[in-house]
Amino acid sequence: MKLTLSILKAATLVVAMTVGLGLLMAVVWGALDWMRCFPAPVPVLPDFLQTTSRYVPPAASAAGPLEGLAVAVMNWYNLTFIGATRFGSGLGGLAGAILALALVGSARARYPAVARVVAGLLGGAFIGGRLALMLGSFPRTFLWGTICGAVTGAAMLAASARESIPELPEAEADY
Amino acid sequence: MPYANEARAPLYQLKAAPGAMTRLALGSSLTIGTLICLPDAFALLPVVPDVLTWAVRLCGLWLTAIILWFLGFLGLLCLARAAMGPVIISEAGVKLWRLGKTIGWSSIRALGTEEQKLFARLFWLKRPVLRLTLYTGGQSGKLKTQFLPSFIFSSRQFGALVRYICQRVTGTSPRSAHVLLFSSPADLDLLKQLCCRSQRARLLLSIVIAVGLTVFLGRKAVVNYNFNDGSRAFRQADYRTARQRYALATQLEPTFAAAWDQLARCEFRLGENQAAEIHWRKALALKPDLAEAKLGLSFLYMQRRQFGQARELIEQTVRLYPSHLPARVNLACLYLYTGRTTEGVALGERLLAEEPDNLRVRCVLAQGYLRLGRLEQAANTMAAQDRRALEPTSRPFYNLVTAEIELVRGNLEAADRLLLPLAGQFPGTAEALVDMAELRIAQSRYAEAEKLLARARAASPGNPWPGITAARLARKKGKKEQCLEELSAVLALNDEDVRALAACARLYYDLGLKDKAAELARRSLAVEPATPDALFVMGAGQEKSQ
Repeated sequence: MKLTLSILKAATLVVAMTVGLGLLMAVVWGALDWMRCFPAPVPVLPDFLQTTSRYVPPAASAAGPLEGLAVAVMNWYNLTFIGATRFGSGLGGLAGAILALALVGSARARYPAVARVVAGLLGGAFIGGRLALMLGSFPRTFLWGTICGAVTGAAMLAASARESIPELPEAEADY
Repeated sequence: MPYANEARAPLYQLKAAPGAMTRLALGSSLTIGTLICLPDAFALLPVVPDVLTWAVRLCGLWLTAIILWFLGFLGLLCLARAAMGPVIISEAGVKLWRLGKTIGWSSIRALGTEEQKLFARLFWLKRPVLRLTLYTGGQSGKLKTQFLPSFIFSSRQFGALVRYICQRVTGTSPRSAHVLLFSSPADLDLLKQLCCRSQRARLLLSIVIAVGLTVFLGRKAVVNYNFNDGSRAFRQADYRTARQRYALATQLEPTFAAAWDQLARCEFRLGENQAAEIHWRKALALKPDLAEAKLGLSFLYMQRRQFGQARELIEQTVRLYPSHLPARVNLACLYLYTGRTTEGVALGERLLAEEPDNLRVRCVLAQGYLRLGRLEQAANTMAAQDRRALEPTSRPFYNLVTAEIELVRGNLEAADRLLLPLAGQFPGTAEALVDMAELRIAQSRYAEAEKLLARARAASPGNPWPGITAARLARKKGKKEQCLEELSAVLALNDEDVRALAACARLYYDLGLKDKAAELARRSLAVEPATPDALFVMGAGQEKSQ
């Protein structure tokens, strides 16, 4: 039970930080793009209801259900994060995922090895997938990027469990 | 982990503090962001109409630079922290970084801390910012220096480290971190020399950084100014000047993908298609998701009738940016180029509903209507455009479509007035040359039409329309054999355009080869059921059979 809770906590932390920072930076970047292109009208907010485009992207050839899922995820992302919000969401999401992984990796006492590996899988998958999207909307590249990212993330967080050396006791006052 | 030498077993570690790294990234982002934006303040001048626009855009650029620097630098610091590892203190000595040697306590002959006032001021850091210098040496008498900055640690951590080292080296525990302690008075002269040398080296480094920064910022100002000035010239359709500006920007900054894209755009408009293709490919190599470069290249492929490559690029762009209007306009163009006119018109109508002010959408839609034989709808679509709002870059396409409408209406003078400058301005564009040839045929100026068609063939060898127009001309002149030869040559091109198939069907029908005409018309109608020429052929065939 305790282990399950730790896993849930670590996973929630990674997802919340990735999504939260991704959304925040999407809006920030939309606003910054509006300023950089002033007075031209540019989208500031992500298009969650997908009202801006009435166009459905051409169906990419999906070889199986996994590729079909990748296409659906990519289409949702591409339709939602329009204009500069796309870059912002990527930047924020990557920063959030890296920060969350760093937090989980450094708090060894709170997260056991399994929880760290799960967090590494989630955060790494997001990082790999988003980096693959920079190359284009290719389902196989996206899947490979996601898988490689997940494996790397999990391996890095698993390797972070090392013998701990005590910290140098801090001075009583600032210098 | 067992240590071969127990004395080297770590007693304590001192890791760089995330809070201190964040403060450094934030402070440096303010200074660097401001410095980076200085050239932009100057480079924005050619493209802004008033002070408010300049201020808002500059503010946007400044905030962008700050955020990007903050996140990028913080990421680098985190990477460096992970790579360098913590400071390790053991019974044997202190190890400053992961791959460094352990500095034995007995080999530390002196240590000192200096305040970095300028650094602290430049990067908005809480003072004092110190640098710990360890003077180490063996029996030979030579001293070596090892440095450790305080700004990546919390002040308490750094103070504790200084105190611990002092305690181990000299047996004293100073109250302040500002220290210069040495174990032997004989080292004093050597220490003075080292300090002077260190100060000179720092001065030299400061000069190098100042010169480097000035060169970097100056170069950036020149690059951005030229890019913006090029964009101003481009908007005025002065493509030669724009090309010069973009070429200079790419020479100075070869990794500037947007400048390569714009350079290619100018070259394409000037008819230098090979150079344009190379530069668009370069832009895509630098930035694989640059939509503008993908679309420019796709349009070039459409003109070359390489529809497969064009389709791939457009679909990639549409998947990446489904609401990107120019990508969908290019898709509508592709539908028209391949004769799938109904789909092109349907998409054009949707796009015009989304952006009624977009001239390119309007022109594509009008062309679609015209190809479906809906002349009045085409004319009305173009008439709704305010002529005064035309931008110089859009005027050629507007004039081409208007001329095509006038040509169909039989207003040859008006069509001539519009097409003549276009054929001169874009000598390598087959579309304008073919329209001009059609006009000359309608005016019975056949010799001129032939010359124009020869130019169109040379400009676009894979294009079936010069051949189809030449066949029409031959038929008009009563040369049936020549007309059939032209049609055979057109069909041998195997072009994807089903409208061209329908045009051939119509010509075969007019020449009395009705079976051949019906076969081509059927092939055309299988893809596009509304092509007027194919419908005519099939309709006439059915009437006859009844």
